[in-house]
Amino acid sequence: MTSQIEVCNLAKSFRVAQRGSGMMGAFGSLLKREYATRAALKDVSFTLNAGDLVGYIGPNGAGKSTTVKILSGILVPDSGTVNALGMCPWKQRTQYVQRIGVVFGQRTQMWWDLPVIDSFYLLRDIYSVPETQFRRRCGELTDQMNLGAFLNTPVRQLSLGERMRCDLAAALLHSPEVLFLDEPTIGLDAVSKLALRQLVKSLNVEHGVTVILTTHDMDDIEALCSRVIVIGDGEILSDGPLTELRNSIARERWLTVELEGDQLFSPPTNTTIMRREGNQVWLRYDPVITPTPLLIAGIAATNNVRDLLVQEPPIEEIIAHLYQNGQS
Amino acid sequence: MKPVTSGMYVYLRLVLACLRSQMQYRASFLMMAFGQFLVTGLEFAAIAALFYRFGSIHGWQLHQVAFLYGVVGSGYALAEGLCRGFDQFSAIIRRGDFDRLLLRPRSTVMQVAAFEVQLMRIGRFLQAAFVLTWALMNLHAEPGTLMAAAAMIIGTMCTFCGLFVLQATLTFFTVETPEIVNVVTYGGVETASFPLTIYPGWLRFTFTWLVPLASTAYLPARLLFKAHGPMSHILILPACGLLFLLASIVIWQFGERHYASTGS
Amino acid sequence: MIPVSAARPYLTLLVARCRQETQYRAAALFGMATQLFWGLVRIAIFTAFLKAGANRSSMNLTQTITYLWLVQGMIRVMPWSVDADIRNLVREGTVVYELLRPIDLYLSWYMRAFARHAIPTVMRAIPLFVAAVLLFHMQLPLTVAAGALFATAVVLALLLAAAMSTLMSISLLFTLSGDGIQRIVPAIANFASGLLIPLSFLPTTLQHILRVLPFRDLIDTPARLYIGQIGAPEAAAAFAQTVLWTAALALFGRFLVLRASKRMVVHGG
Repeated sequence: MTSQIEVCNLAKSFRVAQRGSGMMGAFGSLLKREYATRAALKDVSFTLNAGDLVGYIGPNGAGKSTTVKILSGILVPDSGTVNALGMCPWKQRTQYVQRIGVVFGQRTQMWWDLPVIDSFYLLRDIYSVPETQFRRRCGELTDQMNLGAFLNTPVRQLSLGERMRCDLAAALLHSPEVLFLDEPTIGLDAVSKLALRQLVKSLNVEHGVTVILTTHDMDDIEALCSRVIVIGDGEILSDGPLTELRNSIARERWLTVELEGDQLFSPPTNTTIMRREGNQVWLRYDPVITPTPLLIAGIAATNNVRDLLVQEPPIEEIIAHLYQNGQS
Repeated sequence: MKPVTSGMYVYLRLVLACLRSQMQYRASFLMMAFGQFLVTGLEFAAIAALFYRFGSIHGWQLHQVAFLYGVVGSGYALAEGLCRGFDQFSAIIRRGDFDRLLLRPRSTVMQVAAFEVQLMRIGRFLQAAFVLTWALMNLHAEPGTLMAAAAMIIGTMCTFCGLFVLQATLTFFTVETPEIVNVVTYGGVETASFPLTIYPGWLRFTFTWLVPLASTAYLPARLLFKAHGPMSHILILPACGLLFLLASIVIWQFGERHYASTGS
Repeated sequence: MIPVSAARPYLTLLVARCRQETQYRAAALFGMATQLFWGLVRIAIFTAFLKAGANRSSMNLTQTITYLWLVQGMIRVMPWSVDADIRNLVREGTVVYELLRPIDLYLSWYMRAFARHAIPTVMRAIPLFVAAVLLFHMQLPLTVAAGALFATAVVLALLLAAAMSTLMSISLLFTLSGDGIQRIVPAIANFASGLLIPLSFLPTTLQHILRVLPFRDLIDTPARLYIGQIGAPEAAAAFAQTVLWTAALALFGRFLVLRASKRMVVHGG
């Protein structure tokens, strides 16, 4: 597999203007400003291969959108290099953006007061998509995303879910090789979320589009991404398959014990009780130190147990853990 | 690179899309266009009243000033209609819409210009065109005068487009564009509608050497009415407006690079 | 007599609104710079006209220059735009809640409008007049009486302007776009108030018509009192007319608010 996007040692800091208050502040700020420097990216490197579906996650202000902006050619970094599709995004902007697609969850790139199909025509002209290719592609996307019913509806009258599907189609009309999705499921209802995930997945699998997904929704990540890059405070905290992330950061398991009746329960060594409600007890433990079969056998031998359930902690827990470690 | 013709085609398509959007609110558009017509119409009525009382200004008669007013007014209305995106640019940046434009494989100048074309400016344009027509009728205009008027309108339009571009460029450096920038554009319209000789030196200097409104309006008109200069000069002078616009676009591109490297 | 306790919420509103307006000091300073520029351009234009036919002028050059500076200083008296907050209330439909509040909507909107005209006018006019008197040939009032009459006229002008502005805001309740009234009223006001041209420069017949309309009291009446073109007897008549117009506009506004609120309660907005 060939690498499609190579990011090396990106760094970017912003100058934040400090504005004085009151009238003198307003005037003074025109003449002489004081700035504070804030590093958004410190040292970010990663490589993406064609056909990857990568989750790019991190807390607010970690540098996610800065990275996406640099990778899509909007922003120039202070230092570091990007080689994407054989180009440098910010140096060859117009050629580069011809081959990528970007969807922002909170904003639409369509024309608010015009029917959906008109936006598609305009994008066809903007991206110089040949007519025959446009017709085929538009038909495909309309079928796949089920847009037929509202192609002639003005964008402002669409529901958020419908609009997101249209926006996704709009970003794909020119057959981009790389697709950036920035919080695509934000504000969507459960059904629309599932539909959108399905679409992204099939795009990736069937058309081989490389997808970079930034999101706060861990369900998106779990449903879609084979690989997750975690960024915190301008640095990459972790990069790898989801399972690996789980194991390396938080190997712990959760064990729910349901006891016969309201009896006394003392935790085995190397485990902690997280919670107890009536006859249910939640334990956390490290499966390497305390192998699961031994733990269960031990509990079953000393207690009257009605039921046992072993779980992996939810992904949110793991990520929160990671952010905390990254900050300290 | 894509051919320029294709760029023009896309610009036209984008402009048409804007117009179609506005046609969704037809009643509102008609009202606003009428309002513009009325505001500027009464403005000219005040000028006419001054001539009615005082006769002339620095030896210029009403129809001669009306010619200047018509040229400057229609040039400005065209610029406002076609380049409104630059006038609104601080809002475009603040809403993050500029990033969206950067994500498209087209020049930003073209995209911003086509961002918000306002059809209601037709009200102002029509008013200025009426005044110009009236002036031309009273001037017993020859074909040469008509050509001069056309060249002057285009030159003035370019100058105001250039001013809008410069005003927008400022937004790359400071998000709070001081309203004072409007003084140059609106002030330019008012100033250039009268013979430049009535103004103090600093104003004449500003609108001759910094903003070439004198070259696109007053100077050709003077050659036409007073000095009877050669037609070639009259037609060449407004080209300064085009140069000004081109220079503004170069500065814009510099600003855009600055913006990309500092970010938002 | 209105009991003091009943007036209290409106006074609180007025004070709060005034305080909010004083925060836009930087805007006021930029605005003042803009007005200075405009003033100089307009003075150049009018000076050139007066030189062409000084004998045909109803004011001498100093009076004209002073008049033009007064116009620049009082620009914020003009009822040019609707309160942006009220526009949003109407656009988002939340204005229904305003209509259902146990306070007099007209009065509370009027207070807002008054603050919106009065505070910026004071903040811009005073520094502008100081600069104009010191640097740009603006004359001080010739008599103390003229100054006092001018001050009274400005207060009345602000009360009148607030009534006009409030009426424009109320028009939003009837035509949702409301664009018509908001564009036509300012256009006429510009011409009929003396903002574009001192009214005494207009043809006499036109002056007679404009004398009946309320707009002249926004700028022309105060300015004429300042430069001494009209004296105390005419001032009394002009003031009476201003007060009558203000009262009439206010009553009409209140009537419209009542109708609008009935309609909204019935139809549920």
